[in-house]
Amino acid sequence: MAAGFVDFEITWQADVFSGAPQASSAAEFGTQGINFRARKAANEQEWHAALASLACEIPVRPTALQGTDALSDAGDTGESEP
Amino acid sequence: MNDSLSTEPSLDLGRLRQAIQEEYAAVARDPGRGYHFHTGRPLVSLLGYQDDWLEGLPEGSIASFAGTGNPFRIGHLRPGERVVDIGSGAGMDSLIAAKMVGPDGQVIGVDMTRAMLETARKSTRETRAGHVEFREGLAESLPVPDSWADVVISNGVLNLLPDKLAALREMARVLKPTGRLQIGDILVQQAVPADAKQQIDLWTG
Repeated sequence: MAAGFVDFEITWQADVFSGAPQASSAAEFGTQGINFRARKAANEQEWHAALASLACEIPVRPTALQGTDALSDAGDTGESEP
Repeated sequence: MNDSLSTEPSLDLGRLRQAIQEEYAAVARDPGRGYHFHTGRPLVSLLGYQDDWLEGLPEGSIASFAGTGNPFRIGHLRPGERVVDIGSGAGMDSLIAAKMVGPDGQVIGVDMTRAMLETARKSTRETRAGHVEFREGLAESLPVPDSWADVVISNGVLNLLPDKLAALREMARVLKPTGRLQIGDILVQQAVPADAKQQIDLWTG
């Protein structure tokens, strides 16, 4: 989605390094060859709409409701400690 | 924007580019030497290039091919389209693109490695394809006008660029609105440690 592109899709992936004449670090990192496509947004409006559709924010709650530790761990209920 | 696409802060970009140029100049001059990646006809077969796409292409461009994917499996290019091939190497993908878009289309291949450009230009003369040209340049500052291209292709190049966001912005700049990206590249399924990203030999091998 970077730089004004939309409709990103990886269409294919496979191991393309196994059996190469020289050893490489490819296997160490699980490296695979891929094909991907994307499309430049038609205009700013389409780009911003695509960005907005990616939003994954959690609902904002007042810090006071999150107890003493506002930087709570995932899964924290946000309830104050007794 | 995604910070993971930004430049690695302490990586010596000049040294990295030099190492990449040396590696791929060797591939251009001695494609059969044996590298840490596949090259040439075996790779073309592995990646699913169709025989009719390769028909009439000079063997020098095929032998020095070193891609990691196949932009044409994503979709055929249409007659009359304008195409930019980023990191065009020995020119194989550019020449296939030139066949697909035909004489009413245009193809510009861009590469920073002179030995690869020499091979690509030699092949272009042999095929007498007047609608494809190769320009020396960088992916992060393409020698191509704004909104010129219908399609940007690239194959095994984006992973070699520390500043991927700059390269993607350049791709967007040269594409017309609704223009297509058809890219072959790599992904890693294990996180690469920060210190490993500073090792230039890991970028090239």
